[in-house]
Amino acid sequence: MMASQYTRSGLFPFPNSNSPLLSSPSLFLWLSFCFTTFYYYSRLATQGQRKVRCFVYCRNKSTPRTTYGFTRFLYLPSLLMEKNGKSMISKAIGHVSFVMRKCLFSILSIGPVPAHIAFIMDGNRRYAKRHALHQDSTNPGSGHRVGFKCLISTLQYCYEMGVKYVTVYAFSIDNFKRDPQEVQSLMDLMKEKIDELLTEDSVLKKFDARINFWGDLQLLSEPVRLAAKKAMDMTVHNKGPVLSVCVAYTSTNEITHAIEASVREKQENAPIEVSDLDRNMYTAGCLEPDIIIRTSGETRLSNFLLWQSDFTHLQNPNPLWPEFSLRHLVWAVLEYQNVHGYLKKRKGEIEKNK
Amino acid sequence: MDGNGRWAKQRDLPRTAGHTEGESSLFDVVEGAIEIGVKAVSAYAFSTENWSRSPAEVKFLMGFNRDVIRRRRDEMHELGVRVRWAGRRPRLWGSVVKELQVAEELTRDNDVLTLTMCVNYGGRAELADAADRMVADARAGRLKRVDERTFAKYLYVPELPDADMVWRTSGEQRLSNYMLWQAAYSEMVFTDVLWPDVDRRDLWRAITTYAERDRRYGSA
Repeated sequence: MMASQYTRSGLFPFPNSNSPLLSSPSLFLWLSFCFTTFYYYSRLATQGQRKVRCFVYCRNKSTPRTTYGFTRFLYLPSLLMEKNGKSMISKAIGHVSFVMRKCLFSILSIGPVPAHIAFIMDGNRRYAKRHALHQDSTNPGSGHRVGFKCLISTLQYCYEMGVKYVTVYAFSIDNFKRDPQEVQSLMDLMKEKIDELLTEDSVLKKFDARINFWGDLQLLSEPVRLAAKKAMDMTVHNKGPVLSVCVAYTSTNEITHAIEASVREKQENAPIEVSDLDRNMYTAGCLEPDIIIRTSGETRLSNFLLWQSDFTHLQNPNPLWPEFSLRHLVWAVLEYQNVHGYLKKRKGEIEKNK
Repeated sequence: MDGNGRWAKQRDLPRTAGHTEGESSLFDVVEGAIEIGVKAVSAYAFSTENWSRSPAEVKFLMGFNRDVIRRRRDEMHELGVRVRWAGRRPRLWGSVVKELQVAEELTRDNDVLTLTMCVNYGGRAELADAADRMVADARAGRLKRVDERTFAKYLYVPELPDADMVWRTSGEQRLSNYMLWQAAYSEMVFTDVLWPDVDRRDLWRAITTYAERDRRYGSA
């Protein structure tokens, strides 16, 4: 029969074979790898030709042409050389990773993808201690620097996956109780990184993302406050996903602020209702988080998004924040997809009753 | 106290059977809390969001809460438990409110453990009600300063300390609009056991998990 000639697969019918490479899932991966390698090699060859030009005369010998024939292989040594300060190999790996992530996120998107993920980025200092990162009086924030790199890569993964809102708990009002030197280094780091986020090759620019800063910004030092305001003004018209940074923030402070705002807008003796507080929260207009992830295994919310976390799935993976990687994020989304049906049903019942 | 409905469904029983079975779990947990030295337990008996359930289940829950409080109040009084009520008055059956008030009055002087029954309770509703009362006092000149510390005095049970641990059964990992203000720094412990299957040993295991945590409150 014709069907018996093919492996059992919904993707790629192929003649029967005992080779593991030809079984359907690995075939798909193998083909992806080949395609990516060929694609990228072609791009490298084209770039190499700009360095070493070779003229091939066709019928009209006066027209110089660059070659696309076998001679592209001659340019291989030049392709592996440093170009613009970035290794070709690292660029190649980056492109391969990007394609693999696209495949992975396509598979993930078969289920519901969360629209809003919030992160409590816990574990930077423990990471620095564990890895004996250089910490002295001039650089007490080395763990936080590593944590920032993790934030950028996590943001990239989230936006590539299609997550619209990402919220991070960068600095709590309670954190002002820490050692003044650490607080100052965090303020300096924040200013530096806010400026970095506005540069041309930043993740915000890449995705046309908007940035919000939620919290009592008056508590921040002036350079940080001005940098935050500048960042918000510069990105206010961006149409892409949203990054919300909670800085000088606690949920109880946010609720108190919402009460004061509700009182100001209400008429004398008018009662304050849940909808009034909702409208005056820093997060007004933003979807409630679908997932709150706190790294380092801690299971506290620590005064973060308490009002907004009614139907939020709370997760507490063990890795410290700088160790949080793509696979942890994928696992978090899979766990969310597992409970999504039930949460949606419960939410629907309550909305119907309102 | 999550999992009553699922417990009943697993046994092909009506949901109300799960709630009935859950009563013994609650009071076993209260006795276990007294044994281990816990001073305050709050139980999420009926949420403002539970009104969305079927009318038959809501009617059962109202009557059930009333009967449980009436049935158990003397037992709680003998154990030295002080019963408190946290929740809103609107929509709550008058008979339930009356039983809660009688239990509060009877156990007013007890000090072994405070059991707060959260009936018709919602975290957001509590904060809105507290804001309302606080603003009324501020407008009447009885309150000079509005901040987080003064706000906490307007919660349903202001003398109750903030929760050290929020324990949710049945494996659900959500806060579900419960004690939003009081659980700001609480350790969340999630247990896979359904509420009717819970006993004091599960509470002790949850407390053991809590005891292993390092609570820093945002500082070093």
